[in-house]
Amino acid sequence: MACIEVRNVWKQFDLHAGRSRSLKEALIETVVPGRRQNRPSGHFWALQDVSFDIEKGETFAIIGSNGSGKSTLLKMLTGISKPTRGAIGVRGRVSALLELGAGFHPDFTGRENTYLNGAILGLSRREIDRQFDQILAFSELDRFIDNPVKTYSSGMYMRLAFSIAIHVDPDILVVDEVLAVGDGAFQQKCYDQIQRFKHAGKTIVFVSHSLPTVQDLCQRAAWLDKGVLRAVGPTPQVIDFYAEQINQTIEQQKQHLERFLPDGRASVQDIQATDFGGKFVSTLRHREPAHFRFTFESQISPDEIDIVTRLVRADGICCYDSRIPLGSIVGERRSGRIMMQIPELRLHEGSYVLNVCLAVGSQDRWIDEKFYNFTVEAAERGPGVAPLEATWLPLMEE
Amino acid sequence: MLLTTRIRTKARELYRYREMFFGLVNREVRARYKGSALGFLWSLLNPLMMLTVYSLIFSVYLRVNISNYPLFVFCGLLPWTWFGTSLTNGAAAIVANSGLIKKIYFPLEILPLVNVTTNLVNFVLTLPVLALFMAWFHVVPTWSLLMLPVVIGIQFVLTLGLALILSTANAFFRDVEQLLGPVLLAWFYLTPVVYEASSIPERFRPLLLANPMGPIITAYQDILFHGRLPDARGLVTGAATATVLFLVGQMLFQSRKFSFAEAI
Repeated sequence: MACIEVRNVWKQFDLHAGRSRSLKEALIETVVPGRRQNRPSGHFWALQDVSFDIEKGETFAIIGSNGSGKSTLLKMLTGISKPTRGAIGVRGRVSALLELGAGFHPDFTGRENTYLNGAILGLSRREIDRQFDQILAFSELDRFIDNPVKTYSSGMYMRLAFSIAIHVDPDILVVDEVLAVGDGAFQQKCYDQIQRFKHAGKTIVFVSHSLPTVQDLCQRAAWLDKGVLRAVGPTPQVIDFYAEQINQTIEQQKQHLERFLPDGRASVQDIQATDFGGKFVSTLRHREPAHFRFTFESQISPDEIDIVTRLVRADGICCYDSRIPLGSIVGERRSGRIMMQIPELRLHEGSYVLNVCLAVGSQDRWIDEKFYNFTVEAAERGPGVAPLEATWLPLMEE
Repeated sequence: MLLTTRIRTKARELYRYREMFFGLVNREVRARYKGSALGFLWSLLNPLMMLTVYSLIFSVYLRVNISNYPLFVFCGLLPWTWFGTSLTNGAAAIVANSGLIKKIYFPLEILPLVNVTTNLVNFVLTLPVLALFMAWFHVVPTWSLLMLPVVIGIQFVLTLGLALILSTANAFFRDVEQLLGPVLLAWFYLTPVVYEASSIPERFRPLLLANPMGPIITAYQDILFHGRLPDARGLVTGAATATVLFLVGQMLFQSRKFSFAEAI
């Protein structure tokens, strides 16, 4: 059963909203006909005909770049604003981790603010009483809980705020980019808590820029691009689709990077993945050998040139990075073909980019840079970045 | 949707958010004086200082002929302070809480309600001082005191209605907050707080009828100062005006509340 239904939702914003008119302006516009036209007016559609369902118990991601309409959509899911056209149906109690520390008063102690903030998030006094020890333990605030929050560091403040928010027990949890709170250990705790929600069969709507997190947490995803729903479906597909577009954008931007200063002294071309026999292939297989062939040309001695290669996953994670002198491969030859061999491609299924750069000596200036997109196929999609094949042994006590 | 169903749904939602309501009232009441050395005493010192000034001007300089004049003024000044402060803060209720409104869903009616209630609590907390005043002037309360909750109730509805209207208007036109200062000052002097309603010349009486705070303040003076039952006709008029203003405020607020998050 769908617990969130988004049906042909459109949302229009007045470009001048937020700049409230003065009474004088409003009066003049009413009294003097024609005056209204002088005011610059304009609307834009923040969301255009967006439809999708989120099933009960599902962990659903909404991804998209800044200004794509994610926050607008979340505000409508939580009931803060209404669609201009279309309808949104929500079944169950929604709790949103949109604003941490809502209603915190600096002069009040952490304890007092916990009760107030909890009440704002919809917790009863009794529920907070029951969970207070957990909240306190989670926040790691210890005895500072009875100090005014104005004496807290921003880290302490956020930890307390997050601890309260995470202990609200909703049917639907809306999470917006809040995992970036605290240090690594605290983030892991937050992440674990969200996993616990997930296992408890709660519905989670997750908005994040962190594609790896989305990939790990969410079964399905929706991609919004400038207010238009570009894709909705299983997370891996949506992310690949999204990442492909990002890569295109990145590639274009890369051309303008300062450190890329092509001066024609050397170039690399015709990057291709091939199989054993040298036949070109477009997809590589997980855990099989991978070969990439290039042609190069150089005006200067190959000893002065480094070849830098990087394997970047579609969500931006760099899986491999290496730098070696071209001379060590080709000696004194100034043109020809070279090959990079990976005996066993330990990468999971997905889209990747091979980024090949030529650098002069020790400088971080590329005199040539090329990109090559390829995909890796596997029988199934594994977790993490790469399977490292750890083995386990019992240790004998001495 | 039927009106009764709508009211029931609204009531149920407000009930669900009662903890937030009480939490915010608690915060507001205590936060006002947190960090100031005299704390709660300030909510007494303020009216007491005004009381001294009014007594000096009207009782000594202008020789208004009311016995126990300071007690008389105090009876009207306390409820007026509740009213005036509620409107000033009420107008800002939506704008001042933009952080909450833009990020979290809750019934927004809570904000003006919290504000009027907070000021009611402050008003009730000053009543013991009024009792001391009455003892000082040897005024013994009568059974008419039983009418006090009714008058407070009427004033509450009226103030809430106006706070709903003003907070909505101020979300779209910030001028409202500015305009309110002079309007309240004029309103204060047009309401019989520092003088008796009976001293208004006959031909200006209609002006008093149009003022919903007129019968309310007079009722406080009747109950607490004169020890007599308030004028029934005045109270009914006041109650009717309060109800109408409340309904208008509620309708206006409901029709606009979903644009608040975008307007502020």
